[in-house]
Amino acid sequence: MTRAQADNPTAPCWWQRDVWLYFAAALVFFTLAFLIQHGPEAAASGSWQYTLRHNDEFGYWAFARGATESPASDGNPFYFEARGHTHTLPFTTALIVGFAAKILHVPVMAFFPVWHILMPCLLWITLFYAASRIWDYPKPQSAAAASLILLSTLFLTGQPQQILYRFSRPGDGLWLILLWIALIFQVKADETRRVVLMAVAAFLAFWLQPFYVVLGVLITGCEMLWQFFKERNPRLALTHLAVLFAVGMAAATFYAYVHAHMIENPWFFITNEKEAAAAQIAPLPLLLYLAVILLVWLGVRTTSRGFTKLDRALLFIFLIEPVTTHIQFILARNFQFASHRYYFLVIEMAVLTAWFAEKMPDWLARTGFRQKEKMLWAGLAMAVVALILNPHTNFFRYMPVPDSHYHIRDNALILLGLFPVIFLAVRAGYGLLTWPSPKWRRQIGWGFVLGLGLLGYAIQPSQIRDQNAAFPFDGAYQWLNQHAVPEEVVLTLAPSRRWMSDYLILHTRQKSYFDAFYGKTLPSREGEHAYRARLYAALMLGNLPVIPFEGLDSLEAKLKHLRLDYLLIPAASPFRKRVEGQLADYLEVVYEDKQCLLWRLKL
Amino acid sequence: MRRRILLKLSIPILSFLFVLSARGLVFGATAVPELTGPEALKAGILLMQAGEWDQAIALATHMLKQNPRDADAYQMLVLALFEKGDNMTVVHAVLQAERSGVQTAFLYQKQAEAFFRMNATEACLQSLAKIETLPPHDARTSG
Repeated sequence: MTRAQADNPTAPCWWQRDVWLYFAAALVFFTLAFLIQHGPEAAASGSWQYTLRHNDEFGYWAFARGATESPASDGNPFYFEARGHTHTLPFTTALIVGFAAKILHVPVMAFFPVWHILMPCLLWITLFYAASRIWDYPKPQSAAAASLILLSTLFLTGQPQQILYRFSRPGDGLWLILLWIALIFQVKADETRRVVLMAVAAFLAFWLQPFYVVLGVLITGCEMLWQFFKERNPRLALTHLAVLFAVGMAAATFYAYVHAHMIENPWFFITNEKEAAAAQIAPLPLLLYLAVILLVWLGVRTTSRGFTKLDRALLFIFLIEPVTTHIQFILARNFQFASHRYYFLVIEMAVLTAWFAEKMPDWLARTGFRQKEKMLWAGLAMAVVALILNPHTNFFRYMPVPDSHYHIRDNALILLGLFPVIFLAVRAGYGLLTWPSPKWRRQIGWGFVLGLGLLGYAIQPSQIRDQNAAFPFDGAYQWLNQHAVPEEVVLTLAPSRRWMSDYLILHTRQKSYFDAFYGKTLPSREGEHAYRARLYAALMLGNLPVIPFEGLDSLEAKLKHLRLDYLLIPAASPFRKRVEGQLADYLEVVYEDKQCLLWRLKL
Repeated sequence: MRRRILLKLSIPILSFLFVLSARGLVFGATAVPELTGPEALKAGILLMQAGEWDQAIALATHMLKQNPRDADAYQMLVLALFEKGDNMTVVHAVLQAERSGVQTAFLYQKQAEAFFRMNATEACLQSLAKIETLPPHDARTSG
C-alpha cells in the first residue's frame, strides 16, 4: 500500500489508513476486554488456565477436545466407553478448532484467548464494513454504531449477554450472516464479486449451523419475490436465486455428512426424539411484528422518502420473529428455532438503528415533531423505566428478573424494550452531530462508547465463579499429563464442582468418570450415566461397599463395571477419610500437594 | 345403669390411652416432659438410644418451638425421621432448618442419604455439595 493509496478516500476500503486505525483500535479494545473479563476469573481460580465463565462454553470446548482424539470422539468426549462416536449434526467450529489443535500439537485451550479476542473483533469489523462500505454510511458513525450495538448486548438479560464471548455460537457464523444480509439489499445483478461473496457466506454459514441461514433464506426469498414481481427485475431475482442455490448445495452436502454419521452415531434418533411438539401461538412475536408494520407505515407517512430499502429490510428481517416461533405448525415441532432467535438480535438491532437513522432527519425537520419532542423523550424514557422495573418485562442485565439472568428470554420482548432505547440513542447521536466543536464531539462520542464497553465487560458476573474459585487440581493435572496414559479415567470427588466445570477434560488427555451435566445430556449407553452417578454418590455417602448395587455384590465388581483408573479429591475435602475408609485396599497415592490428592486405583 | 356401664368402660379406655400417650403414639406432644436446653438434649439422646423415634420427634419439635434455630433439635428431628424411614419429611425438615439459618454437615448428610434412598441421585449430590461448601469446622461428616 502506498501513502497515496492510504490517504485516498476513494481507494478500496481495506487500503485506507483510517480503516486500519479502526481495526487496530478494535483489536486493542477487545484484547483489553478479554483481560478485564477473564482477569478476575484467573485471580479467583489462581491460574489463567481456569477462566471459563459460562457453562455452555465449557461444553463446546469439550467437543473441540473430543475432536482432537483419534478417532474423533466429540459425540461424548467425557466418557471412555463413548469413544469413537462423533455428533451426527456437527458442531463445526468446535471440530475445526479440535482438528487445528491436533495438527499443531497444542491443547485446544490454546485457542481460548484467540477466540475471545478475534471473534468479537471480527464481528465488529464485519458490522463496520457492512455499514460503511456496503451501505455507505460515514465511517465514524458506522464505527460508533457497530460498537454500541455489539457492546450493548453485554447489558441484556438472557442469552444475548453471551454473544460477544461464548465459544462457539453464535459468534462463529454471525459475521457471515451479517455480511450476507447487508449485501442482499445492495447487490446489483452484474456485481459478480458480491454475488459470489453472498453465496460463499451462505454456504459456510449453513455448514457452521443450519439455523444460521434461516434468516438469510427468508430475506433472500422475500427480496427475490420483490425484485421479480414489484421491481420487475428478473436478472436481480435470478441473482438471489443463485444464492439460494448455494444454500441448497450446502444443504445437500450437509445432509450427506449427517447421513454418513447416522450410522456412526447410534444415539441420533434417541436424542432427536427428545424434543416435544408445542404447537401454540406466540403472541409477543406477533405483537412485535405488528409494531414493525406500524413503524414502517409511520415512517412512510411522515417522511418524504417513500418506501425505502430500509423499510423493506425492516419488514423482511423482523419477519423471522413470527416465522420461527410458529414453525411447529408446519414441521410438527419447533426444533428450538424460537429459543435461538437471539442469534439474530444484533442484526435486528442494526437494521432498527439504521432505520431510525434514516428517518430521523426528516422527523427533526418537522416543526410538529420538534415541538412535541421533549414529551416524546419523556414518554419513551418512562416506558423504558417501567419495562425495566417489572421483572417480567425487564431486559436489563442488572435489574431483577423472575428467575435467572441466564434463562432464555423471549427475543421479541427484548426487542420491544429496545425499540425506545434505540430511538433515543439515534436521537442523541444526531444531537451530538450538531455539537459545535468537532473535537469535543469526537471525545464525547468515543468516550461514551469506550466507557460503555469497558463497563459492560468489567461488571458482567461470571456464571461459574463458585466452581472456579481456588481451583485445587492444577498440580494433579500436570502430574497426569506427565505420567498417565492417555484416555485413562479419573473420577473427581468434589460434588460442589460437579456442574460443568470438569476442567480435567480440557487440560489433560484423560477421560472423566462422571460429569453431572454434559455427561448426562450427551449420548451414552442406556443406564450408564445413572450407574456413574449412583456409584459417585454411594462413595461420597460412605456406603459403596455395603449396599446392593445394580446387581453387583463385591466392591471390586462395582469399581470394575466401568473403567476407572484414578480418584482425585481436594486435600481439605470433608469426604477424604470416608473414601479412604471404603477403598483402603485399592488406593495408592501417586500425587499430593497442599490442594489435592490423586490416588491410583489398584484393581 | 347406663352411667355405671360407662364408668366401667372408661377405666380400661383411659388406661389404654395413658399407655399410648406415654409411648408417644397419641397426644405425642403432650407426652413430652417440658425440658429445655441440655436436659432436653440428654433426654432426646436417651429416647433415640431406646429407639423411641416418635417421642424423640415430639421432643425435638417441642425444642424447636422453644428455639427455632436450635441445631441440636433439628439434628435430633432429622435423625429420628430418617430412622423411621420417612425420607420425604427428612428432606423437608432440612429445608426448614436451612430457612431458619441452621446448616450443618450432619443435616445435609442425612438429606443426601434420604435422597439416595429415594433414588434421586442428583438431589443427593446437591446435598453433598453443600457439605463441601460449609466452613471447615461445620463440614465434618462423621458427627
